[in-house]
Amino acid sequence: MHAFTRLAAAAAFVALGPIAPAFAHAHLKTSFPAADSVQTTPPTEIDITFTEDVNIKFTGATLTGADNKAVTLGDGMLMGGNAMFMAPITGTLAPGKYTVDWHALSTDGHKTNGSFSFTVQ
Amino acid sequence: MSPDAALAVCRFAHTLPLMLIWGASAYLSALVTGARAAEAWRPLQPWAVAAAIVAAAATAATLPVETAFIGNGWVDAFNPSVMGDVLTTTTVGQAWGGEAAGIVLLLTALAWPGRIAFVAIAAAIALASAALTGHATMEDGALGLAHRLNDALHLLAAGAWLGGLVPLMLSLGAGQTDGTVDVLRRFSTAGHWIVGLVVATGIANTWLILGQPPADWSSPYQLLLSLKLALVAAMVALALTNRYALMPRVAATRGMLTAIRRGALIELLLGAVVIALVSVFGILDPM
Repeated sequence: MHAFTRLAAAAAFVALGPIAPAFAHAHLKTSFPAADSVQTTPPTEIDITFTEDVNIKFTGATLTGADNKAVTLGDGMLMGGNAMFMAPITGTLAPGKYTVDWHALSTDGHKTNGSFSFTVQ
Repeated sequence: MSPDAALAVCRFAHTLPLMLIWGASAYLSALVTGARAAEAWRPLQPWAVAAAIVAAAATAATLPVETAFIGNGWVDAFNPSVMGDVLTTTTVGQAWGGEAAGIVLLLTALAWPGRIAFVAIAAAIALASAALTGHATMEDGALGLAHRLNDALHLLAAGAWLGGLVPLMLSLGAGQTDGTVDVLRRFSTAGHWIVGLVVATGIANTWLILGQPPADWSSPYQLLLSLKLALVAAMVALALTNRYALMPRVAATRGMLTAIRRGALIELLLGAVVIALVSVFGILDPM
């Protein structure tokens, strides 16, 4: 067994070594507006790029203002492959701090969620 | 109970019975010849049927539980539109179709008494279908496919190990006969390869998912995976003790057979705990 195991393990590591590890969960990679950024012009959309392709049926975001009031977002859609989520902001954001709460389902069925904030000047 | 916890319970109640049916029937059809295999299977058949029914119930429950898990909690469990989206747009939904088909095949095979090899093949399909159908999308490419095949191989090898212990313990329980040492030797020869395969595919799987050993114990996934590895190491130690310390003394020393059976039973119980751990951490975030 030892010789076999060592051989198989060595083969596995040699074969798989150079590739990037695959994460089954979709994490936030970049966003617009960026987390903790200050926007001088009010953004008209929320973009979230994930580390994995996501399923649009079970991926979404909500936007809340500093007074805990929800801001209406248009229907979300995927852009540029299936890893970037975009939701248009209907109306103009007044100056203040906003929080985006997002949830995502990666294409292989794992759920993630998170939030980030930005400020409109 | 949260949908997450219910999903872990379903995963356990699906995987363990299928592993035992697959391993026991594969052991008998591959390593025991003709009439003796049929004779050894007879007392196992009702247990296999019961285990298959448990796995079938777990599979049936998985769809609403998965729908609640992916949707907005229990309110969505039987929401037809959410369930439809889960079935048609997610890979776990597609995998569920494969699992359900595998279970139907297994129940059919079990209704056909005396066809142990058919039971083994059907159980293997039921066990591995989730790994193969769930993620074998073309966009994953060759690497994705290799990952799924590795997953399936890992499940089958682990099942062969655990399930094979059941008929082995039964045959040892019948007391020592001329064939006892022969039975043990065949089991351990195959066992070396199977345990090697479990370890190799397990390492490959960890490498594909984490890209490193599970060293970050602040991540529940990596902590539970480490615990699993410790238990598997204990199982391997038990198997090696049985093979190299106890087995050579079976013919000469009384009570050795009982000791081997006890070791095999502890291996089996540790294996069940390992499946329980995987059922839990398999749905957690690896990072």
